Amino acid sequence: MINIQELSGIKLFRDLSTSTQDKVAQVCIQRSYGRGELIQIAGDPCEAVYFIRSGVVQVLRSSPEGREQVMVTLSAGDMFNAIPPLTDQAVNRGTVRALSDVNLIAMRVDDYHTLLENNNEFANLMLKEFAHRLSHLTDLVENLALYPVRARLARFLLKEADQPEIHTAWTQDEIAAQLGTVRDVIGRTLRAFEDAGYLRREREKILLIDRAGLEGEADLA
Amino acid sequence: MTKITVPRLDLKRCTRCGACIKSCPESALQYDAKGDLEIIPDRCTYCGICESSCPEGAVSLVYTISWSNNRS
Repeated sequence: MINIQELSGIKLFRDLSTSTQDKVAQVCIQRSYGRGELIQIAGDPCEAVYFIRSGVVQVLRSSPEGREQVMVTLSAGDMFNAIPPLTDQAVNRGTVRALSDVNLIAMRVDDYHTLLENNNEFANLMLKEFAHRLSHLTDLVENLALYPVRARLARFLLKEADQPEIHTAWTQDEIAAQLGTVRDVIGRTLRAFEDAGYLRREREKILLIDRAGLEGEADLA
Repeated sequence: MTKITVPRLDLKRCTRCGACIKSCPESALQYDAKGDLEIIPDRCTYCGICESSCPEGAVSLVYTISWSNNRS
């Protein structure tokens, strides 16, 4: 059980009534993980639904050869593992890794089922989150199916540079996993973009120069 | 003193094969007293040759992505 005040720190629960927040708080516990730690492994039985209080995690799927595909990167206010407990198999669909020190609120699967069945407000909240997640995954499938790596990388670079807040630091491996390719391809494509004058590199910074050129590559022009 | 960004080292993946040390044109990589790989910040030019030479993916250059002040 946790303090109801700790729930209000999670954006997801802020609009819930006090009564529902109280019911949620009664069945939740806190868990902490350090950077790089695995929080759950794909294929293991579902133990809990997790809500992120602080930190950043990645949800990954792996091919049999060990190649990773980042399904989504989640941060404070997000949740994960909310869908597998509702399936017949009830196993974790993705491996989740902490990208930073992470503080989570965990709700055991049985308590999750009980809340969904008995509390309309909580059930509606989950429905909205599932709709948002489905929309994101649909966009990811569209990108992978319809656009070559050059276009996907150009879109990624534009999206990252246009973020109004502090920019995430990326390795080429992480970019490759995000875009469904391998590091060497990202390295070659970045060099090609540099040669074309779309960007330049200054030590740890990739600085975009030519928006029109990148939008052309991204098929956004 | 300004902090110099150096490549990220994953010591769990490092097999101490020495490929990165041999390939670095600035001799910016070495083993510390415990035998772990370390980077000498003042020598590192962030060229990325160490990342390319590592067969285990233990060396990663990290980038932030933003707009240049001088852009078209």
